[in-house]
Amino acid sequence: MRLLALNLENFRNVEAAGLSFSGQRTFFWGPNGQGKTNLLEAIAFAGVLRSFRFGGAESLVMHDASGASLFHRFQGDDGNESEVLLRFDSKGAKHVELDGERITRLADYVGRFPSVVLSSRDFRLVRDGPGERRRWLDVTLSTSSSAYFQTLRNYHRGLRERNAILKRGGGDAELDAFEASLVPAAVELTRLRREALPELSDLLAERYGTISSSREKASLGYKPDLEDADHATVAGRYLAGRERDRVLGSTRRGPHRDDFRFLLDSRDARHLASEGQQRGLVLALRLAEFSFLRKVCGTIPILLVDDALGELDAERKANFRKLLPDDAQVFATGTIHPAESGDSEAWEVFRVNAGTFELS
Amino acid sequence: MTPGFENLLKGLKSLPGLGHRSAERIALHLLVEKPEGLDALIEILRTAGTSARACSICGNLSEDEKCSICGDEEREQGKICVVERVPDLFAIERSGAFRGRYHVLHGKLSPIRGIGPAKLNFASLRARIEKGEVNELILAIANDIEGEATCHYLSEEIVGDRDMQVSRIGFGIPSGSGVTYADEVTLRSALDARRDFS
Ligand SMILES: [Zn+2]
Repeated sequence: MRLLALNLENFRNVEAAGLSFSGQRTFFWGPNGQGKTNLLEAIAFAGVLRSFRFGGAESLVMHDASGASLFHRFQGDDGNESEVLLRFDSKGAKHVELDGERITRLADYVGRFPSVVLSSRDFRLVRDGPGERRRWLDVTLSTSSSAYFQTLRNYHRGLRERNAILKRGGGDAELDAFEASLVPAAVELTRLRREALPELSDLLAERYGTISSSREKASLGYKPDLEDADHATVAGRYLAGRERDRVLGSTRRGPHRDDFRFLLDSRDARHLASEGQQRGLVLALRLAEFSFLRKVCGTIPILLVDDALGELDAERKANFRKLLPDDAQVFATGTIHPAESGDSEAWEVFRVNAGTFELS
Repeated sequence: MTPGFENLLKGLKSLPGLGHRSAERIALHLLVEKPEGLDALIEILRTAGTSARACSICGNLSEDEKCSICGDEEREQGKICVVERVPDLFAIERSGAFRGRYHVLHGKLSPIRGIGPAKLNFASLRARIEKGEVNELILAIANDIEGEATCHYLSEEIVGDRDMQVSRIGFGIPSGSGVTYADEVTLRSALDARRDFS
């Protein structure tokens, strides 16, 4: 899959821009804070309809504007073109159109235009708490399967309703009613994660093997919050937790507390790995995500590289380039022009300055 | 802003589906742009308010204590189709596939929106069941999380251990969408293909 054109209107700091891309390698070059990452974010939006930024999607709409829009023209691997139009208002509400038709069932849409983001902040996936890891897992698996997307939505909707009952001090009959659909969603969510993680883990091990010169074996270990995944046990857990949850005003246990660990030779990499090993692990994770989505979505995802090379020395940069799949379209950002950093790739370079873009 | 305008704005904003902007537009339209239409509209609202109401048995829109469906002796007595809202009832009526009676809940359970069992029209359904009028319940309620929970509540709390057939339509209605927007053919097959719910 390739992105041929992107139009932005009132999106973050971009008032209006229309860009078309001719090659497989595009570089957004300019000082920090000018809007380079906004472009990558705009491209990725067509995939999962949410921001990849840590900390959410506040101020997607330019200050003082009533709404923002993004328009993408993609070319599939078969040569067919499709157009995606997204509109946001200041509350983030979305309107999605594919080839001129409004999409009402997002489950039918997700996974059509996958992209993978490599960011210099990815190391947080290893070092930070479980929230970012869960988010990564949910976005990756939602992109790969509409069943996962639907199950995740049902689970979270049921969870919000259950929490509202707990906060209002609602009765057991109401909790029964909502747990009746929450429990199957919890069981299914755990099952789908348990099924997908070994595949992601194998891909990660393979990629890590090529990145790292050392011999240790990398893997991912699933840590489900509810270990026993059968329906009756899970139902019993929610039932038994009611009294505690009423005091807390929220649901304490369940797949919304799941986590997974990065392991190096079965040892937890969060505390025991060096910084270099941790960077290698998240890079391997992103490349594993790329291979995984490529296989399950049946199209070549777009790679978005957000300043990920900034801190690498020339040799590591060269190694990294070798890992970029030849047939993937790559969009990268950086503060140094690729020609000056001795990059031999034939980049199409846009200069980014205060939300404007100029082919350089 | 004048106090009168502000009051009107507040009143309009309390209506479902009206945000601040639309309420403002309507208020300006009524008071400033087209004030000549205001008296006629007040009259229409007053007449509708005194003549139309909820049927005391099923909750359907009615001009009398009892709606035309509850008063129709030709229709099957013991078969009740439970819907969320009056437009859902209209949609099923248009399909012509159902000849029993109805019960309108006026919503579905949604704690997050502050809708608990006390806010729905459950009490009069319980009364109908306790009178022994009902031998079959057909639940025509959206198949999203809130709809699922509402069906579960109905079957556990309202029907309970009573010997009664409870089924749920669903076939062909897209997950997460309601009855009103399903076309007639889909509704007919959804009614024919209802499944036991317990
Ligand atoms: Zn009636």
